[in-house]
Amino acid sequence: MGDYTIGIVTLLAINCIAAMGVSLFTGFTGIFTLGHAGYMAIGAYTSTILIIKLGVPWMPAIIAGGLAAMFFAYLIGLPTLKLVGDYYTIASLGLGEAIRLVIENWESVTRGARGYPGIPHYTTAPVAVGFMAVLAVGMFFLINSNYGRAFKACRDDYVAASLLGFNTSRHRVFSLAISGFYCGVSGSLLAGFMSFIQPVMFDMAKSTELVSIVVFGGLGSMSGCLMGTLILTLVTEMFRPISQYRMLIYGLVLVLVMVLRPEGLMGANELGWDSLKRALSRAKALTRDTAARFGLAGVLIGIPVSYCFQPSSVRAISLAEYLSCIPSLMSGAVKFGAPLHKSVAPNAALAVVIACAICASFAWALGGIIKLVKKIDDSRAAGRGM
Amino acid sequence: MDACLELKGVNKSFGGIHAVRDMSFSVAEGELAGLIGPNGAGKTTIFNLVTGVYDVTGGEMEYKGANINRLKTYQVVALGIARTFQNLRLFAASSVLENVMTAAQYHHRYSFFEAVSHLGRWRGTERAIRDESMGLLERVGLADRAGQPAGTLPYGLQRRLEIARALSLKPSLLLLDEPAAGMNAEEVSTLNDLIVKIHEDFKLTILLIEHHMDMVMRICHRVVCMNFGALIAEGPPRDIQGHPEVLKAYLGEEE
Amino acid sequence: MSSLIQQVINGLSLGSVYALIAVGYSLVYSVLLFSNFAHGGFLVIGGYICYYSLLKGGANIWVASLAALLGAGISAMAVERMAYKPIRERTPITLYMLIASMGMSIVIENIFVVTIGGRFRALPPVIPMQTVNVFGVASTSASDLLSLVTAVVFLVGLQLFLSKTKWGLAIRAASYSLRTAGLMGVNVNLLISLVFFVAGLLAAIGGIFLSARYSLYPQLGVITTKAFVAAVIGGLGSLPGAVVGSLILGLAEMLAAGFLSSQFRDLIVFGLLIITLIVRPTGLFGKSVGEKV
Repeated sequence: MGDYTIGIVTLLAINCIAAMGVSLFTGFTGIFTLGHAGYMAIGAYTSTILIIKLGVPWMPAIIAGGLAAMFFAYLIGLPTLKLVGDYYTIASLGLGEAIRLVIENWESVTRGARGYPGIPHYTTAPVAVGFMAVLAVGMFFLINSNYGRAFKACRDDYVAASLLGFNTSRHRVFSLAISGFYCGVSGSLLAGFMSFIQPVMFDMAKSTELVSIVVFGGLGSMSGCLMGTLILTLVTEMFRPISQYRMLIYGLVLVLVMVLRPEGLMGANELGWDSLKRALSRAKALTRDTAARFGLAGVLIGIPVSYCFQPSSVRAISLAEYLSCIPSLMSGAVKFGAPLHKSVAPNAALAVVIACAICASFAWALGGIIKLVKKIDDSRAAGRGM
Repeated sequence: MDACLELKGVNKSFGGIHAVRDMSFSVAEGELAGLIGPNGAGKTTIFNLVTGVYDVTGGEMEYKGANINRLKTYQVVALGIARTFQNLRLFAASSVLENVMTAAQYHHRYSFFEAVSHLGRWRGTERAIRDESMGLLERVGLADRAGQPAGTLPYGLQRRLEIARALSLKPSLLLLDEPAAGMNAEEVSTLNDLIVKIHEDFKLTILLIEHHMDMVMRICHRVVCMNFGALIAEGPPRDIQGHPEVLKAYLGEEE
Repeated sequence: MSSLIQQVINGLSLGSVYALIAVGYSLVYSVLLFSNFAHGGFLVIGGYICYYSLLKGGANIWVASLAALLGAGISAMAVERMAYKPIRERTPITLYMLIASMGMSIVIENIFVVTIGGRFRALPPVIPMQTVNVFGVASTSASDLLSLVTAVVFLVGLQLFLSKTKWGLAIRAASYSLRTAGLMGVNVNLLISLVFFVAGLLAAIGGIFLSARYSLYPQLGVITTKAFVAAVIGGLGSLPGAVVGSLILGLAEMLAAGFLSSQFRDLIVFGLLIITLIVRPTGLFGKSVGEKV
């Protein structure tokens, strides 16, 4: 693995931790938030100050960063989560801003808007992945316990939940505190990864990214959240050259997922044997669908077609090699825009992806039209029969 | 007999509308009482007042001699009061078993650290919650549907599930809000048996709101009838059945 | 003393602009029971329509404003049809609409970023800015007074619309129960479109005044956060509450800016929100959230 890939893996792990925190709060407790980057900022600054000013070793500093964010989340949660979630959501809009203002203006401690340089690079890939693994297991266990059921009950029907003996506002605050801890740890790790932190790193865009991941992965599914992190982080890496569209894409993800498939990638299901079986049976059902058959045909046609229309320099490599480029492109190991001789493979791979997508969508639409025509015919026939 | 639940001159108004007016009645320990009245009479409001969903405007509510006027919903549960809902409030997406387990865990606690590590008491407690919940599902005849999402159950079974969920809180007073609504005659009769049986087996005090008059007459020891938020009659079913005020409330005044 | 009066006038003027935004937002909340975070987008759309019809279309301020108001109202309706209608028809879970609205707000903002760029634009000088002397005790800018007057006119107009017209009655009925209103024969989809149109229209007025006061840029919609906070202080879903909350917030902000430091403005807003939620969680005019059980 190259440095770049290791970097991506570390970043993925860091993002995963924060996304798990947001998933607990938004997915399992049902309260939308746009301020969780603020908790990351608190974690990042706490651990940075502890390490640089007080010489605390990095491990306890990371934990302290998490605890500081947790404490702060608890304080914010107490007044705002007494009633239904809308109040917290509005507060969360101001929260990130308020935290940023405090950090920018408290220069003696935080060094203000210019940022805090010279943080030791303690977040190596194993550290980040290790933290992620431990925290992910903890989160899965928490969901599969009294607490998980309580959170879901408060989310689904807080009146019924309170009549089953749950103090719903306390559970909401508790969920926020835990999610604050996860975001704080994530922020501390990010500080150690970047070696430099700045208030703008924890702006609204970061908060939006986190909730987009959770919504995309599926509200109420931890494995969906992990997959959402994987896919959205890689996609944003892939489309780095057109990063001005990044926010637009996040926004569209939120709207489209809600309109088309509010349950997200995974719904409330967890990745496991059952969901695998379900996916297989759904795939089987898909092969009986005309539109889907045409789409599949489109992909199969798209590969050789795109291959044939490549410049000769690309066709010099074998089809197998050509296909194998896709994962390397996906992982960002090769970047766009490099000189041709280096980037033959990724360009080719991109061409494959695009050609497949075009062919598939054309074919899919064609299949859909055929199905529609058939349906109209059927209804006509039925009408004649009457 | 001691009063389990006692209302003394309870009032509730929403803005200018008096939903409950000077309502006084009591339910004795171990009784199976019925609360009847036409639609909009304020029956469900009484349940909401007792369980702390609404605050009373005036009067006193006592449960086993202790005032429960200002208690919050979850504190009411701690005293041993459980209820079901007129328009079902199950966790529709969760499985039948999980619905009951969510309530059953009330009496089985373990610490946060046991929860995130799955060590210590976690395994044993989870098993106890599961076994207890399955036991209750068997009681109401839903054991074979345990894995199904609660929202996909037929209406009548959803009502049974609500009863199982309320029972898992180990209440001593159970408030049933129209448990037979939307059921056919056959379902009502099996539900009758179920209610009588759980009343005996769990040594419960039950107060139930019902529109199926034959059901109320058959299983209730005593009936409280209200109209326009006020008490109009109280007594054994036989007396209530012929009570002129009750007939007037249900059939309307002769022109 | 005169500076105090001046700050009070400025505060009321800013507050009245917030009120225009907050009232539209509260109106939507009272009917659909979700926080429409895309509300700020309508404001920005109105601002840009006004800007371009003044600059490129050569329109005068009245025509430009009218175009902005209609444009924002129609785009609000369009957003509702595209993003919220499919959701509300399928599920009663308002969280989904809230998330979609947040997405929509980001989408609108960034459509402007990627098409016409994020740079700050000053509205042509169509709104008088000269200093006006108020009763000889304080001086303030004409635009402040103008926005105050306009806001009052539109708020009174809204009040008349809600209390005197058939559709106004239907909207008030829907704010008690949308379902019941539907059962009584009100065309619910049309009603919701109308609510969004009114909300978008009011937001556009706010947008024009805000872009005259500050300048016009895609993130201008973020300012609606303050209108949301104002609505919470007044009581979510209550229109008088939204107005009073906005005025309080506008005053607090201008007084903080005038006598402390302008950097504290946003912290004051946030602090007021937290204090309100601690002292009186349902806001000044909010009903306690009673749910039909």
